[in-house]
Amino acid sequence: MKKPLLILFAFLLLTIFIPRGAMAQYFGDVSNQGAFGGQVLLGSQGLGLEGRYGFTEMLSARFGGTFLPASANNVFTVNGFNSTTNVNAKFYNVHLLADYTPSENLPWLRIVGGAAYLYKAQGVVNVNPAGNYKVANYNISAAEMGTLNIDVSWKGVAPYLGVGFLQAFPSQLFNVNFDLGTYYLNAPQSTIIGTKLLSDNYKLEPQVNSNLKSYRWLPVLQVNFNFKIN
Amino acid sequence: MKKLFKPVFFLVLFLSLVIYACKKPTEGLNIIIKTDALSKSSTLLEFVNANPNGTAIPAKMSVAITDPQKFVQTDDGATTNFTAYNGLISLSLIRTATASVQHPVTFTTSVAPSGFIPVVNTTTITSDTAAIHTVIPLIEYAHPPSGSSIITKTTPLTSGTSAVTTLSLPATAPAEACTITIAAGTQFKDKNGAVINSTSLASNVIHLGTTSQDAYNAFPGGFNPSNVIGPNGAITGGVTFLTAGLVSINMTAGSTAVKGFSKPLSVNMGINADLINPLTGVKVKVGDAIPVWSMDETTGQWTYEASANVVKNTDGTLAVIFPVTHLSAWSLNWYGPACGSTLSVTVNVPGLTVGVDGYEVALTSANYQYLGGLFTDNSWSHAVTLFNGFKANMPKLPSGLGNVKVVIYSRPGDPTSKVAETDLFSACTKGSVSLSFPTPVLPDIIESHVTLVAKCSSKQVVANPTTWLTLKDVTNPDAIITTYVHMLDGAADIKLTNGHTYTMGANYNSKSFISGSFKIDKTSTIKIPSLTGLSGTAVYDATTKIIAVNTTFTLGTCG
Repeated sequence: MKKPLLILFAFLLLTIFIPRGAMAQYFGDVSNQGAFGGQVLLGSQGLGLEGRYGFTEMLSARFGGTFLPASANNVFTVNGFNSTTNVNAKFYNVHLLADYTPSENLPWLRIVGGAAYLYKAQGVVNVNPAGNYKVANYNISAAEMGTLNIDVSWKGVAPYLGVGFLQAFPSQLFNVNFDLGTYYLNAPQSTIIGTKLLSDNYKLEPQVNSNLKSYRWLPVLQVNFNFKIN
Repeated sequence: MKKLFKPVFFLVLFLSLVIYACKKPTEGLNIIIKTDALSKSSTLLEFVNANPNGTAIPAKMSVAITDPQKFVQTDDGATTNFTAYNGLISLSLIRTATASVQHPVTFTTSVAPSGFIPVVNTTTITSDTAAIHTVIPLIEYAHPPSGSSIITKTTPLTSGTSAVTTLSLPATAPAEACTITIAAGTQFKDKNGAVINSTSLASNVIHLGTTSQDAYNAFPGGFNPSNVIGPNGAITGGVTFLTAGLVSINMTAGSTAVKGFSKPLSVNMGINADLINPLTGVKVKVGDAIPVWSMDETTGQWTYEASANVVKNTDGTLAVIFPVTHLSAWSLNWYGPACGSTLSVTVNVPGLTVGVDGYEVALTSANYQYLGGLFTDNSWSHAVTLFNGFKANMPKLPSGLGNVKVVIYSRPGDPTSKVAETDLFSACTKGSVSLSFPTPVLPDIIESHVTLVAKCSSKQVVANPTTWLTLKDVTNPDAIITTYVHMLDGAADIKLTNGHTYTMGANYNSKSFISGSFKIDKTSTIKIPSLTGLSGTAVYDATTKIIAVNTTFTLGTCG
């Protein structure tokens, strides 16, 4: 995942430093008013689809959705608690965004705003004890200890603000552009379910919520593959 | 400058988005381990000096536990090296054990601290969930309880043989003297039956009478023994004793413990003339028969020895004379097995809508000897919470011990705290009784939720211990009130008195954790200082009117 992001970032930097004339020559001038297109998204919020409509030369809107299923093992440890961890993340949203090109002199730049409805924005951490434990004089096996499931969810509507690079619509049939921005999420809520000897860990929910209360920015760094339909 | 603006702007924007939320999600988190499933049937044994004005129980005292099923552990999981700290040992059953009325778990604990008479206590557990606090008084030779008398005497032996010797214990009450006579030519034997060839005999004898609650409370093993050999063999379910007195004799010839004699000792035990004979319902008199029992002080087993009649001594006092063939506790006890009936007890305290802790509801003899209570594992020390309309059943009633009464005390074991009693009635046929007493003057009580957390040193793990918290109201240093709170997974709801000063403590993992004193009030956050490792805070919530008392200590062995 890191390597594609680096490539994308490098490409963004190129778009910033390349002179406007060269860009226009490469991508060509387009007429956006009344245009309709579709795009496939790939980036930090996963894979998605959008439909786009151009209202004016400078303004277009797009509606779509993305989904990001991801998982990883042993991304963190709990000091003194011998365990393995498994993280599963699911971010599904539908969004409505407006793209505005602020200046005719900057046709490669778009100011993007809008909002998304997060119908699933969830990170689940499973903590599975490994080995044996000793509490005072008790010897406790991993099976006796139980398991821990930490579910962190963001819900509701999240506003979005960002910038787009390169034209919203391809001059011909296809082009590529980029988005860099962020959603501002509602504060996450955690649900912690433990089994057996770990079943009291629901008491950690306020602490987890506090630790994650600043986790409200969902950065978006994505590449869009655009197809002009009309 | 204009050329620089764009790249710097975008770089700052990008980095701010990615880096902003950088607080570690696990920061400050400690995995919580429950402990309730690791033990069952928590049992707090509290060894106290039978004489409240006697010497304190040793701070650290070895406890021997006889547990044939290997079910017993301390409530921190240890199954060896049982030790009572400051007189307290918290025991429980291991998590694979199951106790029920049909399949009770019975074990004995014995202690023999220096300067005290050895005691064996039998604990019978009939429930997985019960949390029982039992007080076990120890009799100190130097400071015996009221209602008892004691003698320590060394007499010469010739080639291991005694001349006529009389050990006279003074009367603890009118007529309750006790005399032990060693016949001339008596030889003393060790545990193997061999005669001990010594030049001296040291005798320690204590007599418990029937005129003092302190002496009643010190009756070894209590009045509801379960390990009993009756006239016709073992008595299933045990019996209830109604005692006319007990004498415990320990002798040492040289440095060898005496276990038997070539000739029986003769005991002349004075009988309280005001004692009601449960079989006749009137005061005991000459000719009345009283069973003689002996107790194996290593197992707590009582054995029926004989029946002896009440006689009149030359001074006109009543007595029972019986032979002692081996050394142990010997007692004159009427006895009766459980009759199978129960007794419903209703307590009315008009206007008392909140529960008040610390009452004793006891079934007693006409002479106020404890016979039973609301628990199957009977002890006079088991306290209950009373309120208007309180109703409970006495599950075990004795048959054959005549008429009894129900008595309520506001402080267990303290006869001066009696607040209500019934008339005498037949235990097995009565069915129900009702008692009432005026509403006590209540202090300004604050409901409290107490938590106790055992932190694991340098680890992100804590345990919520299932153990006993010692709560001491030290407001009046001359009248410290101690209560024991069972903490289930480190939590319990208790009542504290506004404006009173307390300390807290817990024994866990072979250590005693104690807080300094702190004063309860409703206006500020209270800091609970550490004395030996237990500290915390207390915060009053004006909305819920509950004070949250949160305490912690640190475990060395954890994770």
